[in-house]
Amino acid sequence: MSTVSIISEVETPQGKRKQKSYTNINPNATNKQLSDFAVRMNTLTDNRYGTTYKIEKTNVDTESGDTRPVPTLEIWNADKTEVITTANGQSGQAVVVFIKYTGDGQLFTNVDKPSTTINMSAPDQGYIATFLNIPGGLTAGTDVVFTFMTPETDNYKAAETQFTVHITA
Amino acid sequence: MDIIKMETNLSLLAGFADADDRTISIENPRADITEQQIRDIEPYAAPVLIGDKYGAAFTRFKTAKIVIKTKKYLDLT
Repeated sequence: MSTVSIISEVETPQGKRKQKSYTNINPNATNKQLSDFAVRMNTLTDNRYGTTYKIEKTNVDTESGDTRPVPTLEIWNADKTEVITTANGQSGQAVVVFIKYTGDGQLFTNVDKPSTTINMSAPDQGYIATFLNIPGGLTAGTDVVFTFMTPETDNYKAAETQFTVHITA
Repeated sequence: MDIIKMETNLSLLAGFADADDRTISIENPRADITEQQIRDIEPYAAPVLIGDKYGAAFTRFKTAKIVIKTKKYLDLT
């Protein structure tokens, strides 16, 4: 099922503010139909406020000829390991990462034993802070490959992106 | 000093073939919107909007109203 939204952007002193106003959009609507509708919505707004409407699509059906957005992943603060204690009292070596991502999917690495998969679900780009347990020991020089994968569904092909972190200490 | 803010929205009540309704809210509408201008949008809304429950087809905008809200923030300093 496609997620398609009508998004309004309003200029404010703090910058552009987005507001989602409608989410049930025909997944079979073409880009031109979506664009035409957004243009007509804009004719109803007062230009003095800088409000504009646009259609944002995610997980677009590839068979209709539209392009599915490629998931993105950025990770930083992940080049060092440290011993942490979790809220439930477990202690171990971990990589603490801050992640910026788009789309829905799973995040996993090549070094987790047993493999740790984090399910991510966010309609909008966002930031999360999390950590990955590395119980097998992780030494300087190790490359940790983070893979962010959006799974295949009835309508969409799987897509993935990777980010490699070189552990320095 | 108290602060007063005003918000203006155009609420369009969209009707669907399964008798369900859904409201679309448009921020900062023009003050001089006419019924005809809203009717002119309907052909473009038809291929895009679908109903909430069964994906029913859009039929027409049933009502349109401009809502003006005034909020007063009291100074508590």
